[in-house]
Amino acid sequence: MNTDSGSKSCSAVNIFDRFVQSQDSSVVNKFQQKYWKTKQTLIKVTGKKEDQHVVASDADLDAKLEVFHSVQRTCMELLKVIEQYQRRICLLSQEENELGRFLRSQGSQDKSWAGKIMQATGKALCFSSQQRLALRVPLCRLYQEVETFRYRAISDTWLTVNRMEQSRTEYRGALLWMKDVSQELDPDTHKHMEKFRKVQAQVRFTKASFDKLKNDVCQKVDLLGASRCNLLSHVLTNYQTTLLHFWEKTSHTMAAIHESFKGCRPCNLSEPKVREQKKEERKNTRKSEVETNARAICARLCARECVCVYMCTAHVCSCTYVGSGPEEVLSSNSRQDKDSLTLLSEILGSSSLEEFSCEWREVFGEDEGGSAVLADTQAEEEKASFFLPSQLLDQTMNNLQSLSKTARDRSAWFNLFADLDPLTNPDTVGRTDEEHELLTA
Amino acid sequence: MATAPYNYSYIFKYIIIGDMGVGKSCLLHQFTEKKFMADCPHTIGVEFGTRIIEVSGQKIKLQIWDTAGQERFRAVTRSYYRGAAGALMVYDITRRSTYNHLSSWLTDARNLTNPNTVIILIGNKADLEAQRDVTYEEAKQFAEENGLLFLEASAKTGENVEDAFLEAAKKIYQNIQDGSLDLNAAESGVQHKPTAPQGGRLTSEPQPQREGCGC
Repeated sequence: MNTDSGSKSCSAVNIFDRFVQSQDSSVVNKFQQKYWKTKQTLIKVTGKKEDQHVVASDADLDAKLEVFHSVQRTCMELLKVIEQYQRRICLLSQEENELGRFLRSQGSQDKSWAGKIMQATGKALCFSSQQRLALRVPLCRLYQEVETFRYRAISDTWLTVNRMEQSRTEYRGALLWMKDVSQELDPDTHKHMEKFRKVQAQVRFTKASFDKLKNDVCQKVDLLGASRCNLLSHVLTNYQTTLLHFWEKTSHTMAAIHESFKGCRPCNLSEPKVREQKKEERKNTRKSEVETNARAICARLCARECVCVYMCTAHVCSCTYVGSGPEEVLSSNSRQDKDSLTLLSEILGSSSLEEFSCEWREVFGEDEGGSAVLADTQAEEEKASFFLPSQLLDQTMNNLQSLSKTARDRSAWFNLFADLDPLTNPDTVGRTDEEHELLTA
Repeated sequence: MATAPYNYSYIFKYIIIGDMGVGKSCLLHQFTEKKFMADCPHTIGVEFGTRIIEVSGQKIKLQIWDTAGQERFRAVTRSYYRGAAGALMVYDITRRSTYNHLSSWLTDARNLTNPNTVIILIGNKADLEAQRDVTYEEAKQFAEENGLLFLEASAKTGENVEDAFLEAAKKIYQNIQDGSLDLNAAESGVQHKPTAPQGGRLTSEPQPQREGCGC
């Protein structure tokens, strides 16, 4: 067996490669490289179908690019959402404040306990509107952080992605060139071999550069995903805390109002005095007119899980009154009526209009005895002057409905980030180990 | 390229195909240099190797095309199958996936070469018995089902490497002798050194020899 000295050896290849690359500066060579790179660019731009094997070999890279584009897109969307949300908080707070002031001014004109309730409620609403504005601070922070993230982290990764894409075009162009040269290839023909070696060197060179950039891109995208998770969980905890505080404060305020009006019974049917009776009858008429509206609206409100969803204990409390018999209610009324009024004057703390309406429902809706008596007086005093025009109450109820709706929207949005718990290890990219390494690196 | 003239009557074109990392380049290197290349870089496109062997008293130059196994080179390497007299289809006995991909390689080989091309299945890395993932029997059965020669070899130790190339050459030569391989066919993969100076591609030598060849 004889060995042909023309057999390949690594060192010979290297030497030849270096020789070839030194020839790279030649015009013809440059032109050829450019030609194939342009051809590949054309293919890419026109969306022509590329070689399936070449595409398949880049599958993991393309997956990472998908992740990157999704991060880009969702950050943009998040910024828009935050902007809108902030605007709505402002609007809502404004409306809330106006409603509160309105209730207070109207309530101050009524000397009865209803007026006091309105004043208390109004004050609570003003307070709530102020507190609501506090939400803007963490939201602003979130906006700034995400924007900085976009300008720095995302654009840096974007630059690397672009460089990688350039390199990929060059590399794929070189592969096209190699495919072309391979059509007619005879290792015993010197000319063929020279041509082939030239192309081979080009492919090797572009492949090395592309492989490196590919790794860079993959790493950067992983880092990007991990850092975004970190960012979000940190800033969102602030927002979460602020929101909880807001709800805590306002719910305490509202609950306090509810507590203070617990014993308050508008049902004064047992009072024998005529003057009192007339006054009461007038009150009852007013209330009865309001009652029909309140009952309908309150039924809707309560059915729709109003804002007092977190005040469910208070809600249950008021519901227990349903069980008490009319006698107990009436007797307790006479006792507690004056007490509650003084208590209310002292506190003027918090009242929730929903609580108010729910109580009304119990007294007028579910308390059969009361409504029966009212029906008699109702016919007589129907045309008497009323304190709260039904339209006003309607308006109030409507405002409350929008309030409850927004509250629900907020909770839905809030739930979106329920998963981002800083105590757990967030992982949007899908590779826990790698990400953990990166985070702990 | 040849420093001294050697006498050979035929040139057989071989191609080595198979998944990335099964040891194609190492097999070639072991065959031509009798050395094991531990740190072999990925083959870009194709690499070439030659060696002259003897079959039935005939000197035959083997022109071996070691193709790249990486998927991205598939379109490129498909051009190389044309005109191959023999194909070495290699898999790694320690990696099941390389064995599973054989059907795709075989399809390519059958589609792109002529029907007489001798295909030999090589199970490389036979020295790594402890990590074996493919049994000899099942590979043998696969080879028999598809009409392939089969050998397990090791580029590291050199076991069966010579035999792999030789067996294929013997089969090809046999095909020439019994006439099933037409030397005048365009892509037979066999170049026979003719008397006429048609073979400008052949390396120069002082005395062209023809022994029992069919012109």
